[in-house]
Amino acid sequence: MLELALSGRLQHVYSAQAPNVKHAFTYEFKLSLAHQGITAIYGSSGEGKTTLLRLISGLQKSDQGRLIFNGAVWQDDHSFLKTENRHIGYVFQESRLFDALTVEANILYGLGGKWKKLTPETQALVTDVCEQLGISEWLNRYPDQLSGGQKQRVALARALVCRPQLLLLDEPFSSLGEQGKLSLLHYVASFTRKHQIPCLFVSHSRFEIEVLASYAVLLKQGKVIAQGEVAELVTRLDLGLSHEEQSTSLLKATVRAHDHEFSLTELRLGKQIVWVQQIDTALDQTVSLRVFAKDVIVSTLEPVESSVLNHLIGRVTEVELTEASRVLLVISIDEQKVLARITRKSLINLGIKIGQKVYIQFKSVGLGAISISHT
Amino acid sequence: MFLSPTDILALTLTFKLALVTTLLLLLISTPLAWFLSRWNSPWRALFESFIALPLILPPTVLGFYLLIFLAPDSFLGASWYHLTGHQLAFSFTGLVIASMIYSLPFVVQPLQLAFEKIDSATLECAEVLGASSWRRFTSIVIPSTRNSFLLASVLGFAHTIGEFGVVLMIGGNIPGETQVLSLVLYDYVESLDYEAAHRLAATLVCFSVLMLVIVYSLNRGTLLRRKVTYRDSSPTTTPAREA
Repeated sequence: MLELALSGRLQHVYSAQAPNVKHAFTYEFKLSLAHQGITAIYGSSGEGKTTLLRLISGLQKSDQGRLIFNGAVWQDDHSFLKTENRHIGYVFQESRLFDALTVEANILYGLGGKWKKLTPETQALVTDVCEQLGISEWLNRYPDQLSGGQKQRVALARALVCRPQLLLLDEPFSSLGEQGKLSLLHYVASFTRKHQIPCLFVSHSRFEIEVLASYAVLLKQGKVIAQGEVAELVTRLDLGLSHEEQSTSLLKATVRAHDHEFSLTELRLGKQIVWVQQIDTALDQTVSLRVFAKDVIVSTLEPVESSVLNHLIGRVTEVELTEASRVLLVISIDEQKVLARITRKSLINLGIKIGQKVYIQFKSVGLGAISISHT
Repeated sequence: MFLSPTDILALTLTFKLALVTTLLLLLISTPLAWFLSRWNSPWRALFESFIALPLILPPTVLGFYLLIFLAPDSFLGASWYHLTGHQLAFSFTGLVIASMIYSLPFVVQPLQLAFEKIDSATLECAEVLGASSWRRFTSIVIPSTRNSFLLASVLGFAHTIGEFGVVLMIGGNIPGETQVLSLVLYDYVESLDYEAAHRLAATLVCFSVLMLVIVYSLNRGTLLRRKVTYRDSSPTTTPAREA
């Protein structure tokens, strides 16, 4: 889908943290992305996430390199396709609405601006997007009559109604509360899936990424250091993700049955069965279980009497001493991997070694991104 | 009749001059101001100084140089004569050129100031949405700077009407061709016809007050405030909450 090798140097970079300090930034991005769904661009601030999006959009012209999208050359040594001709959607951190235009004119801007000139299909799409985002009632207003969150919705609608061939999201919806933000992100996910729009999503929140994306690209100091399935990246001990305090693992499971009496759902994870609190998902759907490494209980004997409903059997594949008091374990459950953070004392008391069979239990489980088809 | 035929002739000529000058200036100043507002170079200060020069230079100094510049033996004057068979100095065309030069800062500066306030982030956004540079300018820049365009027009127009020194130097006081209001007024005072001078002066005062009222209302944004209409008229149902 996206193929790029871009390098260069930016003279004046303003970071969001220190808007008044200028500094130079060198980048050398190499990326070959086949994933069609939502791809997260992850990294701490100042690692080049926004720069990468700006380079892809063409708003920033790379000093040198090549950028190919779906076979079309957007930039190489001889040519540079202008941003206005790339047919992309870009939702920025700020809403960037056109103050002199009404909400409606803002939304129709990328479609030419005239409602009457749209095809009936496009009109239906615009109406639907506005209704879904709850902005239909504000169409005659001007941006300065909207709150920050309302503006962000309009900005999102403006990008989506164009049905871009690539959607870029740069930490959008920051002025919304967590709940509002998540519901918008879920809408973006369903819209891009329905219209088959690949999406690059910049975030520094791993929660958002795990909930929304199934594929991720990690950046560090202007370079791509890793890319792959989120579930794979979070359990790799050589990457920073697994060492974060809130480190998690993602396990794919299939819904087998719902127990309405106890409000539970039976999931199949490889060959094993787990029960979780009832989830609102149809049978045979694949879901992604999100487990915090610190919520994983490891034992060497099969637990018999415990308030935890179920346990899984796995094999320890990696052990890493992360602090004086704690260790990180990577445990394979069939084909999948789960991270567990336990104390060093337990490690020694239980005598856990690599290759050992262990029983694991989860104190709590959340839901991650529902896997969408990969190519 | 309140004003004499000479006054009427001068009045029409003055308005014609101001109108032509303002229109031409808007045409030139818009790209110039846009360029200056986006230009990051040490040379910019020098460029801006030249544009602002008419603000501080005594009009007679400017008029003197223009007279030399537009004279039939100058390059410009000679070329113009060669092309059209008319001379530039002491002609309406010459007056328009002179007026454009001395009114230039009054049109360029408000526009440049307004353009500088336009966030390039907003323009980037329009670019992403597929707008060409022309559409970005007409759909984003012009609507958000309409007040400044009006302000620039009013200032350029009013200043062209009021100028005396430059016109005196290069105009030649030819009725119907270069004899503008301020020159007629000067003649009345010279010939001690204070009654006629009073009538004309009062007309100019009224006109200037009107112009200033327009300018100040524009600055307060009261004149061109857009009309806001809500689709649902009841303000209590404002959907301001987040999901």
